[in-house]
Amino acid sequence: MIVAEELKKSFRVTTRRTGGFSAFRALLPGSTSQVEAVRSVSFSIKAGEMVAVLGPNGAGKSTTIKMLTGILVPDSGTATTLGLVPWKSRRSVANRIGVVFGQRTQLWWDLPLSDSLDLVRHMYGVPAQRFAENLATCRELLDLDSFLDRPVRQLSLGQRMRGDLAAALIHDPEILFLDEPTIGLDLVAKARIRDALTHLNQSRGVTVLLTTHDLADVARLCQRVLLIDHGRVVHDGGLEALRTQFGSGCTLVVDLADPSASDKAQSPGAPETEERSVGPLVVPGAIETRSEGNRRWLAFDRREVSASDLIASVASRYPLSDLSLEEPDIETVIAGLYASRTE
Amino acid sequence: MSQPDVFLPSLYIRLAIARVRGRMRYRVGFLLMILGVFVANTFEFVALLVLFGQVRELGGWSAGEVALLWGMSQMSFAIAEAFGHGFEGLAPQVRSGEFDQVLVRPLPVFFQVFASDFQAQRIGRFLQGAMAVWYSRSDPASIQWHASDWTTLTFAVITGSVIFFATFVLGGAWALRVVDGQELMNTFTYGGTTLASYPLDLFSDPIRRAATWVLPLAFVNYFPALALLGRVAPDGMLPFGLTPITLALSAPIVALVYLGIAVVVWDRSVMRYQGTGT
Repeated sequence: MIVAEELKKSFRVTTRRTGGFSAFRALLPGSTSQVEAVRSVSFSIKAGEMVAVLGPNGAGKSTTIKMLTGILVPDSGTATTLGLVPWKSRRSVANRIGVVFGQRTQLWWDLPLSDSLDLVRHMYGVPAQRFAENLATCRELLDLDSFLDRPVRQLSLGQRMRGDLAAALIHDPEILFLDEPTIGLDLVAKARIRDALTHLNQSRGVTVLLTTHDLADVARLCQRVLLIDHGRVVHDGGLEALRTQFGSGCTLVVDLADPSASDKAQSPGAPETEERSVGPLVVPGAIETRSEGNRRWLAFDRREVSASDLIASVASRYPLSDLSLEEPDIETVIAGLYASRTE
Repeated sequence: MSQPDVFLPSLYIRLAIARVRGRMRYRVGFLLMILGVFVANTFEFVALLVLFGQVRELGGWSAGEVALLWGMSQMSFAIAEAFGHGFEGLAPQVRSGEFDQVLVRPLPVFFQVFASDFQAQRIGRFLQGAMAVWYSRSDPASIQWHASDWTTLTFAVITGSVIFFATFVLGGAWALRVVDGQELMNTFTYGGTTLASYPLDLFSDPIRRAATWVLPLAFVNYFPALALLGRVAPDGMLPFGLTPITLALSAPIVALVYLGIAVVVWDRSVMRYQGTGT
């Protein structure tokens, strides 16, 4: 359905000039620098899959989508969408895919939504009969009836997004490309979009490729995640696998039984003195990252030391009253990955 | 069926009507916009008349003759703006990324931009131009209007609008290459109409040459007006020593060649945009 092979794309970025004659000075050489947006992206998506593309801003997600939809031509590498090279058969591919950019609208701002959908129908040459059927499906699926006759400029963001999704479905696309379809939406609106996408995927077999920053989207919709960072695919698989691959940093939380037990006894009193009574725990393979009264947080890497070994060695050195193991959630894993990018 | 079965002319009309209907939703605003364009142009024309209150003629051109030139250029420009505004207003769309939307639709890019912003409100400028031409009839130095002159005028106005339209297309192509080149482009479009509002023989030689050979503004109204008025041009104004009538008759060919060049440049700019993603 979609195949990308070593796609590569770099942009010339012009340093913006300000002041007088900026339009003329923009023509002068020496003001540009090369930015590698996509370094090497390869993957393939089968019919009926629903795939999320994750990655920090500027990782190359949108650029990849733009190449797969025929908007941009890559510097090197190749891709096929529906068996066609999208930038060579732009119009044929466009006729069989639907594209929604969450940040923009393709609807006519001043016209009722129904007029926009009708115009889209004529742009794709959809026969009246099929249009009527598809419109009926969209009205039900996206619950458009309450605002179908209202000008697009008066719609809420969630309604507008549903309208845009409807506009992308009028010509029965085989693939939907969605660039941040839930950005800025409230929980109810997000749920509506997700339900609609699930329905389209399951009952109509529409292949969906979406980019998002919302992990709830991914958890609800996609069995498969492509994580793009620095213009490369760094993970291709399930969301859980992402955690095992990148989320090896865990935390052991222990409660010390008695602060005086492992050190010289001091007069039991205020918590401050208790805290001072035991220094940072020293355990091989782990680092104390936080302490609060008797509670200590020990960070460790699962690949270096197993949880059971660590617990055993902590217990042999310090008397414990309680312990728990904290695994990172997906958000933390991704946030960590994003943060490491800038370092 | 790999590409949609769409008849582009009827789609154009549909999209143009949608555009007008969208604007008509704010009826008062729409009418004020027409009035605004009309009034602004009236001031320009009044300024011209005030000038002729002080001097009897401008480089040998009487008030009525200049009014004819001015009116022709206004009418041509109004038509070009009405049909070419999609290209004229492209720069902000390229900057915001809205232009990408065009590339995911199964229609020719040129057509989509062409059909994206039909501006009926430009009728204000057109009417103003028509009034100036009407006024020029009161000048005894002007033409004895025969039916054939009206035909010539109509052809000249349409030819002129094609030349201005092609300039807008080139402006759009420019916007695809240089993101903040709008001001420079306005120099050619709006500067062009101002230039074409006055007799070209008033200007210095480099400007005359540029208006004949680079951006063929001379063919918008100067050569046709010379022919209509039966005027003699100063030395060196007429390329290859051709008569004004021959030049006026060749204006449509010049306009179509110029438009052809503009379309080729446009296509290459779209390809370049896809290659570089400005």
